[in-house]
Amino acid sequence: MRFWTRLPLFILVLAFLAPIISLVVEAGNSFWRESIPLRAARLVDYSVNSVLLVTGSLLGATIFGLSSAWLCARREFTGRWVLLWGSILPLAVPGYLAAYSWVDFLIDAGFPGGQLRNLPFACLIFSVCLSPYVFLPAYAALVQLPGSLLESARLLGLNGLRLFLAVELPLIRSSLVAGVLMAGLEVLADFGTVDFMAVDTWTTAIYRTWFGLGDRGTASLLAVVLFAVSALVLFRDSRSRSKRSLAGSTRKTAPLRRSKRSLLSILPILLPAATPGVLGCLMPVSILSTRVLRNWSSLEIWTTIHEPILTTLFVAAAAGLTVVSIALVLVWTIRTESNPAIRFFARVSSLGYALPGGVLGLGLLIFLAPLYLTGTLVGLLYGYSVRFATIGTSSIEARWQSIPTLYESQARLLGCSAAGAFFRVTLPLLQRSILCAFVLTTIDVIKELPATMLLRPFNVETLAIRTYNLASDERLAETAPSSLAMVLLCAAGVFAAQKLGAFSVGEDGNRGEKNDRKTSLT
Amino acid sequence: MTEKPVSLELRNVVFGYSNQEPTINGLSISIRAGERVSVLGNSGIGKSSLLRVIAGLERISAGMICLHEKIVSGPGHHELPERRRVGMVFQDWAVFPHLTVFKNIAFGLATRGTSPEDRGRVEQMLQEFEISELSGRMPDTLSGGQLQRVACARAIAPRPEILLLDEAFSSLDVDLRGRVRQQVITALEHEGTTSLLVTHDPIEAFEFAHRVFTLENGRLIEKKKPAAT
Repeated sequence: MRFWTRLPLFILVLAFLAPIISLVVEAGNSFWRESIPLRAARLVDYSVNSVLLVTGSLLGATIFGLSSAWLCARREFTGRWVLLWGSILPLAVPGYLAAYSWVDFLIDAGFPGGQLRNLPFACLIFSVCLSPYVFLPAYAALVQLPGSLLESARLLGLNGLRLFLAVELPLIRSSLVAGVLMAGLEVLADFGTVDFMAVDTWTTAIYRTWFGLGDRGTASLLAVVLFAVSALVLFRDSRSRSKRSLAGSTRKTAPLRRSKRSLLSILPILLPAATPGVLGCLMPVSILSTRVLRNWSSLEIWTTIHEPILTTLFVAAAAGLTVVSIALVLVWTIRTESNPAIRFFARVSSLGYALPGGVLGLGLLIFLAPLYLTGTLVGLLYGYSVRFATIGTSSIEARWQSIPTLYESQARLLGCSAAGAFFRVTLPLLQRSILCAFVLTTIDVIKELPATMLLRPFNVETLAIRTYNLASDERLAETAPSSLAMVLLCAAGVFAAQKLGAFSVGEDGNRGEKNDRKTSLT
Repeated sequence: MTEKPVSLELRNVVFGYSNQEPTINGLSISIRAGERVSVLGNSGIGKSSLLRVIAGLERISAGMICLHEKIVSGPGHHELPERRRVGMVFQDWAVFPHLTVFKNIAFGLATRGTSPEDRGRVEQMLQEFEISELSGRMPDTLSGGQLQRVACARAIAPRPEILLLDEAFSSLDVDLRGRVRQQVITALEHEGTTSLLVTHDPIEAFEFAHRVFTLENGRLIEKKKPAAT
């Protein structure tokens, strides 16, 4: 009996491990075929570029994200909500779209195209597009800090930057690090931006080695190393999450009230804080909108993008449903399973986010080929499900943990079976987080390029694929309609996710009458 | 006997949160150096607000606050809290969770415990509050009573001229409350620090203070100590 209840989990674990095992086997076979020095020489450049790209991007994303988070959390000023949304909305603009629109715009403005495609510019693009990964956890942590901690520090003589460095930064450090690590994973996993910006990284190396040189073995080896690095990063993040606690230091937590400031007085922080909203969202959307409006008749916009839009929506919705269903099974197992080994496997199979889209795609191509499932919708959904299971499980698990087990026990005492108690009590309480997981997954699926490129059926063209293909042919102006459609779909998703409480923004209760009762630093 | 100088003086202080009736309305009080004063009152009556305006964490609407005859809050003037040399023990302890007990107590000292003088001062506080054995522990491993003593030791360590205590002992059980209160009184007398405690507990108010007031309609009214029965 126990075996049958655990069967779905076993299948999920195998499904998750299959592409990794396939890659490892393929990499192992190739390891002895090529001389190590030859391979090492090739990899040095890729590694240096990857490290520089990740370092530069994360530095920028941290400066932008942290300054906007601090400003939104600690200061009240005209246009604060504009800055808040401006800091979140770059989530709706994938890096490669920002890169296409910026390069197109700058070429139009007279800059030579070749000089724009370089590592520093790629770092800037990633910095602004990934700053929400830093902003969201930092902002949530800052607004939750007990006001009395900061007031104590002030009464003990600290103010301004010293107060931030001595108290605020150490207290939000683990949230900040988690955000920075997730941004780092995104940089490592990216293909579209680095490919377009002509920056050779591990991801582009994997593609070129496989599709350019036809060397599956070396590509697999590179993919395994990239997976190992990503998994390490995610492992570090999960450890820091488990340590994150203010427990025991205060009895209750009244957050700090924002103090009013004029725009002029906050200008030095406002400039970096507003950069992501302007460069990562406002400008790309303006550039794309201008292109679309300018070529409204000649591009036959609707006829060229209506199919990709419908395909994207269908694929994203199907992936969202699959991910939510899988997440429910995984979280249910984590919550109810008493065997620690089983719980560990459930946890492991929800860590697909450590598999960059391209790495996962390659693993699945190897694994699915003998099953004749490559280039099928099943294969594509399989890939999305493995990659984005993390999003589903983290959203649902966070809410599930807050539901007392007492509720289900009470339902059982009132005559419900275990399944009945789940469906009648727990599931309705999880509704919002399930919807949230669905929306967040669809946003990521809409943006996902490498996995889609590798796993899609030949006749399936999503918005991301259409945009990438046009950009690869240097038909940048023609990418505008599909890019804009993608941004608008993602923006709608971001708004919906915010309404569902995905980002902890606006939950600090710092508004209305309650505002007056909160503590403030004058 | 010569009278000690006035350490804290509030003159016709008015304070209220925006769009609401003032919680402090024309309040005046004068406290001499080394004196201990308690303010009694029910929840939500403005006791914590009184401490917050004295500490400089809130701006007053009218009136004047003087510390050692120097105006710190008044018309068009507001001295920042970090410059007032006022210590405060918060109702929720506010012990920094990322620092050890030693570093928490050293937080307000000039070198944060790195100089021999500061280290000596922290050791002295640890001994006075009987928490020497907790010196290297992190706050999340401490009990409520221990955290309370760390909070008190931290507030007194920088030798503030005035110590404000916001329901500082109310979360402890009766036995522990008496012990911690006595430790605080001993430390205050030793340092000669002026102090102001707000509490809803009349017994605590009278046991702690030389003078006890009640806060009614935004003003202070002095209460006589009840005769022992």
